[in-house]
Amino acid sequence: MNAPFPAIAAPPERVRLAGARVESASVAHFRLMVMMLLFIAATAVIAGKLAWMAVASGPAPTAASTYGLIPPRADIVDRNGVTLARTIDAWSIAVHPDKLMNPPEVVAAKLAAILPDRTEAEYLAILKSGRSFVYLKRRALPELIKQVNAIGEPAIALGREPERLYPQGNLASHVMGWLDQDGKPTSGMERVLDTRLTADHGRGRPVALSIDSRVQAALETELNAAMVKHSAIGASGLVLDVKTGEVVAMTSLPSFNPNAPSFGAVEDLANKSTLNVYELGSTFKMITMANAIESGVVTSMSHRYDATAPLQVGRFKIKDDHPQNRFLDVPEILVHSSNIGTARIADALGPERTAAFFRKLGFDAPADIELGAKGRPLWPKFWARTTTMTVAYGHGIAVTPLHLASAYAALVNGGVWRPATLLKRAPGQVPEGRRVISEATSARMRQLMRLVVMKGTGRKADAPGFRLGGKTGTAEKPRAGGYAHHSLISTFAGVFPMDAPRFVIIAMLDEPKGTADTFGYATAAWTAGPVIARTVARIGPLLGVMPSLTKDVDESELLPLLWEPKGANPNAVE
Amino acid sequence: MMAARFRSVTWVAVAVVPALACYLVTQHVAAERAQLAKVERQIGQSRRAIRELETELGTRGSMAQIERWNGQTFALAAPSAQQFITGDVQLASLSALPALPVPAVVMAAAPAASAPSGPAPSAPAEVRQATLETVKPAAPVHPVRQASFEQVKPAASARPLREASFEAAKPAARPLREATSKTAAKASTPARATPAKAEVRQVAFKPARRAAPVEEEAQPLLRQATYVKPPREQKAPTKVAMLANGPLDSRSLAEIGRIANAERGSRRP
Repeated sequence: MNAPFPAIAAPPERVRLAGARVESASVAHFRLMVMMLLFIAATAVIAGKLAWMAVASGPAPTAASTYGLIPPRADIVDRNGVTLARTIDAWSIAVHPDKLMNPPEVVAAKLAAILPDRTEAEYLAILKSGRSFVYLKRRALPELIKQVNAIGEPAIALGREPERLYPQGNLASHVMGWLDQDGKPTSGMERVLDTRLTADHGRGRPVALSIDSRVQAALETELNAAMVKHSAIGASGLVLDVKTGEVVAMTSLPSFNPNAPSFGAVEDLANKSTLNVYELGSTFKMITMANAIESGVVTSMSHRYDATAPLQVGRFKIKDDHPQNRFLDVPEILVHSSNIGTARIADALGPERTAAFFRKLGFDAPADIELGAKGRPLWPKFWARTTTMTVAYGHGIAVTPLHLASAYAALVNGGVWRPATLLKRAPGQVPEGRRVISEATSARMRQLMRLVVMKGTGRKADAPGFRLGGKTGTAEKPRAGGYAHHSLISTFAGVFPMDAPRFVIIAMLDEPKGTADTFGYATAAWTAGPVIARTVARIGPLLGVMPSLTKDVDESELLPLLWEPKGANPNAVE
Repeated sequence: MMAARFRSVTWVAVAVVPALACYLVTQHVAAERAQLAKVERQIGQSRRAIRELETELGTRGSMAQIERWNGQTFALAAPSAQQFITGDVQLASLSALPALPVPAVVMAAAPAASAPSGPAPSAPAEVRQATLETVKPAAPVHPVRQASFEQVKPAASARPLREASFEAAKPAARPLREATSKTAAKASTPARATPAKAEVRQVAFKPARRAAPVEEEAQPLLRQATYVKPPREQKAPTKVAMLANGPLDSRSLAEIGRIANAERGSRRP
C-alpha cells in the first residue's frame, strides 16, 4: 500500500542488508561449528581420560591393603606360630588442656576417680598447664575409654594408635626386646629385625623365631623357682638344638615385661645369656678333655693322673673340691670333677693347643648370634703355665653361657661347631659349620658326659629315661685381688638324649645360697642340677624326645674304670 | 514401502538396542564390582575381628597363666618315663588279660598238686572278662543313682544301691566278690524296690548277670551287698599319656572356667 515502488527499486541499504544477513549466518554457523568442536574435544578428552584410567589403573586394590590388614610392623611368632609380638590398635587417652570447656577442678576429680595412676592434684596441674596436648594413658582398655568418655569433656581426646603388644608378657623378654615410646626398637630381636619387620613387602608375613614358647615357659618357671629357693641374684638358661644351632629357649632372670619396660630394673634389661660373661668353672673340663683326646694327649681312658695331693704351681695351689687323694683315671677325673687331674692334662696340652681349641670354639670373640648386645669374653692376656691349668677347669677365662652351649653342642653332635641363631632355620639352611673334633672323640665325650650324670656330680640332674649327660660347674666369683668364696656361679651344662644328642640345656644360677634340703650346699649339683632334671622331664616330650628306661649310652668300657670304696653309699652326691 | 518407511525407526532401534545392552552390561558389572568390594570389606573386617580375638585369647591364655594354673591350681607334674609307651606290646602288658584256656590234656598231664588250683583261676578269669565288658555300660550308673535317691525314702535301702553302683563303676578291682555282690543286690531288688526301679537296676546290671549265670539261684544276701567295702589296697590306676584323647575332661574344664570366673570377678573394682 504505502510501498508500491519499493519492490522495483529496492533501497540499497536493504540489499546490503541481505548480503550482511548471509554473511552473519555463515559466521554464526562457523561459530557454532567451533563450539561444537570444542564440546566434542572436551568430551573426547574426558572420555579419553576415563578410558586411560580404566586401562592404566590396573586391578582394584585388594581388601587387605584397603582396610589396613597389613600391620605397620610385622608380627613375631615362635617356631610353632604362637604370637610373641603383635601390633594392635590400642586406645589412648589424651587431653588438650588449652581447649578445656569444663572447670578443671571438676574434670580433675573425675579423672582421678577413673584413672588412679595420678592424684587429683597432678591432674589439676596438667589441666591448668595450658599445654596443647598431654597423654593421660596409652594402651587403655575399652571399659576405661567408656568411663572417660562419660565425663563429657570435649578437650579429652580418645584416639586409636598402633601399639606393640607382647601377649606372653615376660616370656622371652630378653630375646624380644621392646619398643620405646616412639615405636623405635631398643633391643632384642625387635631391633635386629627392624628393617624386615617394617619393610613394605614383609609386613604381612610374621617372622618366626627359633624359640619354642612352651619350652621357654618351662625353663623360665623352673629356673625362677630355683632362683627364689636359693635366693640367687640372677639366673640364665638356654636350650640349643645341637644339630642346627637354633636357640629353642633363652632366658635371663629376673626378666622384665616388654609391655612396660620402664618399670623393670635397669640391670635386669641385660641378657645374662649373651651379654654377661662368667667364669663357668668345671663345665670347661669337658672341653679340655675333648681337646686332650682329640690332640692325642690322652690316649687311654685308663691312664691315671696323680691327684693324691694339691698341685703346687709357682705360688698357686690347685685343690680339689671333692678330694679323692689318689690316682685318678680319665673318667674318674670327670666324675669326681678333679681340678688337679684336669690341670695335669692341661699342662700336658700346653698353652698353644688350649688357646687354639678355645679359638676354634669361638671363645675369643662375642657369641655368634643375631642379638646386638653381646659380651666379649675375657680372654687371658698372658698364657702362663698356671693360666693354661686354670682355664682348663674354667677359671681365668670368662665367656657367656651361650658360648658354653655352642661348645657343648659341638662336642656331642659329631664334632661340628655351628653359630647359634634365634631365627627358625629350615632344614636346608643349616650352615656347614666347622669341625672342631672328630666323630670318635665326640662319641667318647658323649660317654663321659653320660657317666658324670650316672655316677658323678651330675646325679641330681638326671631325668629318668631321658639319657641326660653333662657336667656341673661351680665357680667362685672373681673380685678385686682374688675370688669370693661364698659368691658362686653354679652352672650345669647338659645334653639329652645322650644316645642321639638333640638338645643342649644350660642352667646357671648367680650367687645361689644353700638351703636346708641341700645341706647348705650351693654348688651346681645341688642348685642347677635339679633345675635341669625337672626342666628336661617337662620339655623332653614337647621336643619329641620320648623317655625310655630301656635305652642308654653304652658305658660298658668306662664303668669298670670307676673305683668305689667298699661300702660307699652309691647314692651320695658330693 | 513399509520397510522404507520404518527404515529410520529400524536404524534407531539398531543403534539404541546395542547401546542399551552395553549400558546394562556395564551397570551389571558395576553392581557386581560393588558387591565384591562389599564382600571384601566384610572379609577385611572379619579378619581384623579374628585378629583381635586371637590377640585377646592369646593374651588371656598366655604361657604364664597356663603355668600358674598347671603349677599352683592343679599341681600337675611332668609325666614320668613309665607313663610313656613305646609300642603295642608295652601297651598290652598294662591290661590284665585272662590266662589262656589250658587244654584238658595238658591239665591231666600236670602233677596232682597243681590240679586243684586248675578250676580256681579259671573262674575269676571268666568273671574278669565279663567285668571288662561292664566297663562300657557303666555310664548309666548315674541315672540309676539319681533315681534311687528320688524314690527311696529310707536311707537304709538307698545305701546298698549306692554301694552296688560304686562297685559297678570300678569293675576291675575285685572281680569275684563284685560279681557275688551284684547278684545279691540284683536278687534283692524285687523284694525292696518299686518295679520301675528294679527295671532300671536290671538294665544297669545286665552284664553282671551274664557274667555269673550259675549264681542266679543264690539267696539274697542283702547285708553282704550293703557292707561291701571298697577294696582296701586299691592301686591307683596307671594313667597313660594319650594326647589324642585330650588331657582335660569336662570336670577339669568346668574347674578352669570356675577359676577364671573367680579371678575375673576379683579383678573388677
